[in-house]
Amino acid sequence: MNKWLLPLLILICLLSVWEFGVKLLGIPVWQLPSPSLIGKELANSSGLLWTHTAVTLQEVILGFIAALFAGIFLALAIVYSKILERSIYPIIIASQTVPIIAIAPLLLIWVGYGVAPKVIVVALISFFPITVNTVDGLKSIDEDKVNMLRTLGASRWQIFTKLQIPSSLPYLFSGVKIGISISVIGAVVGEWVGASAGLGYLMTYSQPLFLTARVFAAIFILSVMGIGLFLLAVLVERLILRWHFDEKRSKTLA
Amino acid sequence: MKNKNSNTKIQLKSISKYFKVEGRNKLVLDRVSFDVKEGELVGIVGPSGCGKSTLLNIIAGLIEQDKGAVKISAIPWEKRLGRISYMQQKDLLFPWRSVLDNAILGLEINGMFRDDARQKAIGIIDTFGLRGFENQYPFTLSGGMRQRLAFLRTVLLDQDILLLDEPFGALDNFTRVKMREWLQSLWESFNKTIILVTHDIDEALFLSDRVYVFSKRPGRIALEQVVNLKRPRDRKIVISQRFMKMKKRLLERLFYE
Ligand SMILES: Nc1ncnc2c1ncn2[C@@H]1O[C@H](COP(=O)(O)OP(=O)(O)OP(=O)(O)O)[C@@H](O)[C@H]1O
Ligand SMILES: [Mg+2]
Repeated sequence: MNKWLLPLLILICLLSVWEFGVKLLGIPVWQLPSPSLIGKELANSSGLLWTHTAVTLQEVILGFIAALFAGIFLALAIVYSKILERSIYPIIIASQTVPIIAIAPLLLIWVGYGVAPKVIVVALISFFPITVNTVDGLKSIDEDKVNMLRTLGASRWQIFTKLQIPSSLPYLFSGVKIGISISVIGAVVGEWVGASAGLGYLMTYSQPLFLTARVFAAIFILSVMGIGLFLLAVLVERLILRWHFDEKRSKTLA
Repeated sequence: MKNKNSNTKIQLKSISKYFKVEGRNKLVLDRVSFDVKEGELVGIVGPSGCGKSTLLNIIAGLIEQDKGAVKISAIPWEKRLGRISYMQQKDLLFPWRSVLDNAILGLEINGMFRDDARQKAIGIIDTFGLRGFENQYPFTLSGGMRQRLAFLRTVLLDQDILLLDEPFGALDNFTRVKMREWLQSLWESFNKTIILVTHDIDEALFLSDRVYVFSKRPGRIALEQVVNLKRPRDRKIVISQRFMKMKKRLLERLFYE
């Protein structure tokens, strides 16, 4: 618990500086509202904020699930086919240099204004770390262990299920943790270019009206969402990879 | 001495093996021939890199010899993989499996239900000094226990032939002496044909019925030593006259070159 204490203290300090700084310098509310005002906005507009949060959360979850499946599938395809590794893998890596914000408007033209383009943007932004890490994981297989399994009479499929999958899971989870943290960004980008609901939409809608406290409230919810999803991934990881963490802990003690 | 019938179990006929290194063929094993009788324990010692592991890999069926033949019970077995137990130099335990589930890996692969396999493993886990650790992960085990677990995984499939590549190589001297006595008592009770590769001449002589000394690469048989010592052999046998004489002969051959 001690490791939470210091960041928490720093956060409290920063918030106090912000709170009193704004008051002391007399900065107008529409420019920078104080944390307490943002808190008030969160409470007062909770119904409205929740409606938009639900929309964004839905986009994030659907998009991330799509990214997870696509990411794993691509990784398997790349690892098991030399041709795909040489053809698709470089394209996937190169595709990451295309700014997602440039693709988002095109998606509107192609698939319309509904939830679909946002889900696609989320998936596009999150699948990459999952694919890259899973490819590394599937390739990190220990040849000596493969041979040991072969002497026990294992088939290729058994080598895959009993050795390759478990040993690539820690890598997969690294990718999942990165992917899920950036998935929220994907949803906001998707909503910015055209939407009728969601926290990203609420921000673009509130900003010209100088409802700055509401913009901040939306940012606050988005970061809580990102942190929450990340912690969820960590929790699942700890449950599934208990051996991994027990082993790591015992090594740091030694 | 243990009763051995004189059936030949393993027959190696002029085994040669090359490895491609930088485009050139390098001879690693040079016409190695010997027989192992049923229930016999044959030791192999030789300098590092002389091809001992390569020979075991060939017998196990992991790699193919370039010349010569391997016969098991006088039959040229083509598909030996999965029918000969082989314990490699490293323990190769799976960190994500509990001790018990590491042990049953071979049974599981051969289609036994997990629960049945676990029952079978629990039945002999005492012999391997792993009682009480069944549900732990391997990282909690000491080096000696890890090695015994790798051993348990290897023998649980119950094949007639057992290949051991430096089974105690990674252990300290004290543990090694205890492990070799443990292996002796285990072997007495389960009547298997064993080839044991080791760096430790004491270990080879203590455990084996016969010891082969390999020359340095390319490995070929430089010396055969029959070990006519009564079993079970006592810890102190390593300082007896007869033991010392054999050891001297092996050492002279090993450092002859
Ligand atoms: N796959 C391979 N490709 C090329 N050379 C190899 C390969 N495997 C082994 N060798 C070489 O063959 C020789 C014999 O190797 P091997 O592992 O059989 O030796 P060893 O007698 O078991 O040695 P040690 O006692 O150190 O375990 C070594 O020179 C090694 O470098
Ligand atoms: Mg070796």
